[in-house]
Amino acid sequence: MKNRLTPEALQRLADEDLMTLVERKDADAFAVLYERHGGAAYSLAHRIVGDRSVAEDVTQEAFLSVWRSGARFDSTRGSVRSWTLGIVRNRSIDALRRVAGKAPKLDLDDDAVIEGQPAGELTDSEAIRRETSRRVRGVLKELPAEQSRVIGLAYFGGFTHSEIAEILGMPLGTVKGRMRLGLEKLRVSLAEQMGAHGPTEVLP
Amino acid sequence: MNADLHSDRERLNEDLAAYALGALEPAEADSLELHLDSCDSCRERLRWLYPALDLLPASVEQVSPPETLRESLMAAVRDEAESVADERAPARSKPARAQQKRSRWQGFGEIFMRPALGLAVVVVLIAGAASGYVLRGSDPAATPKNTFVEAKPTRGAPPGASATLERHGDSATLHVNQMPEIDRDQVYEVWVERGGVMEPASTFILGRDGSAEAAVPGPLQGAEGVYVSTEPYPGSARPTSPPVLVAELQ
Repeated sequence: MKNRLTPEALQRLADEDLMTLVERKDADAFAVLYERHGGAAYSLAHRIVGDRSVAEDVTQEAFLSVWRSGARFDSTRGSVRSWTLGIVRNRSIDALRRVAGKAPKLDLDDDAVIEGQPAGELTDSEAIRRETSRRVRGVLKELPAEQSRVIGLAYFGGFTHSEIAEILGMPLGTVKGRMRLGLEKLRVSLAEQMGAHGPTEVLP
Repeated sequence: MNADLHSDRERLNEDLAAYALGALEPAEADSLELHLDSCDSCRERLRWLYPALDLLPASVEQVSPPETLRESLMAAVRDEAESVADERAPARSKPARAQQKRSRWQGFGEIFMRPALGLAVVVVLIAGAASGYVLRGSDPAATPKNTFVEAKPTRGAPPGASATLERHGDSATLHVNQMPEIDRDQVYEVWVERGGVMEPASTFILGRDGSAEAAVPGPLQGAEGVYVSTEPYPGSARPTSPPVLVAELQ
């Protein structure tokens, strides 16, 4: 692999272009991806597993998986960021279950396909991430509590809908209805906030 | 007929939302994926939902990863990059291919691979304001008013187990009764649910009569519920078994 891009040139590339280089095993391109999304990934893992060293392990595993299976990324279906964070989320939940010692080792599948996110993320500086997370929490807070609760238990807690129904002592149909209403409401308020500008406005 | 069509659509939309959140049971996810293969409108709907899903990871408190993480990750990556360059191997590695199956439509395939959680925690949902009651005037001078919330045993709870959450201001005390003894290398752990995540609050062991009082340090403001589960000593960062008691706070 001759003709490598300079670090400055790499910094200017969109995530999707970096992924193309990562597929060709370009470690420098990968380093830029980590720089952009490592913080968000680690924060998500930390939120889910609640332990710094487990969060480190999970983040490392997830990024290694991105490095090794970059060829499976499909840009027509979503952004690099969504894909990566999907992997981090799944591995975090998996780590929870592993700690529990109940679930057998999972056959990991990182085919995290998230659609609808345009390419080209902003640089992931910490200040931007903090500001974004503050604003996003504002959006989430507007959801009725019973809807954000089931969404949180599923996404961050890793519980299935029937487990949530059991935990909360409510009918399965109620849980599913709340998940659906909550997600739809989020989606609609997102669209309203974005206007014509597209999701990068709120989601770097 | 129309009504049937309508409810089919409703049901599908609910399944799609649960699927996007990674909340379907594995078999349900499999059959939905089959359906997605042949249904444009469901695929479209799922694609529409995903930006909402992207809000969730963006909402968590942002913390900085340690520099050592970047270092060890990049060391591993540069190592592999070099060996690839040495072999002049094709870009696709074998392990990646081996994993290539399933979940093309879904962001969270792998959690569907696990069987039901088998959570062993007894969830004590401290029932919410509706089922709670307020003791007024028991000691009006000292404490404004303490709120009492009955915890509900979950389906996996030991028979007879009960608990009451006594809320004082923004913290609480959990009074538990008739809890079964647990192994010496285990403790009961109290959790506060916040945004779907169970955060550790405290641990307790039982008195001879199977009762105990556990502090639930605040802030409880904004928390959804208080739970109790059995954990390996000296406690866990997240529940490793399903809660046995649940007290709802909302």
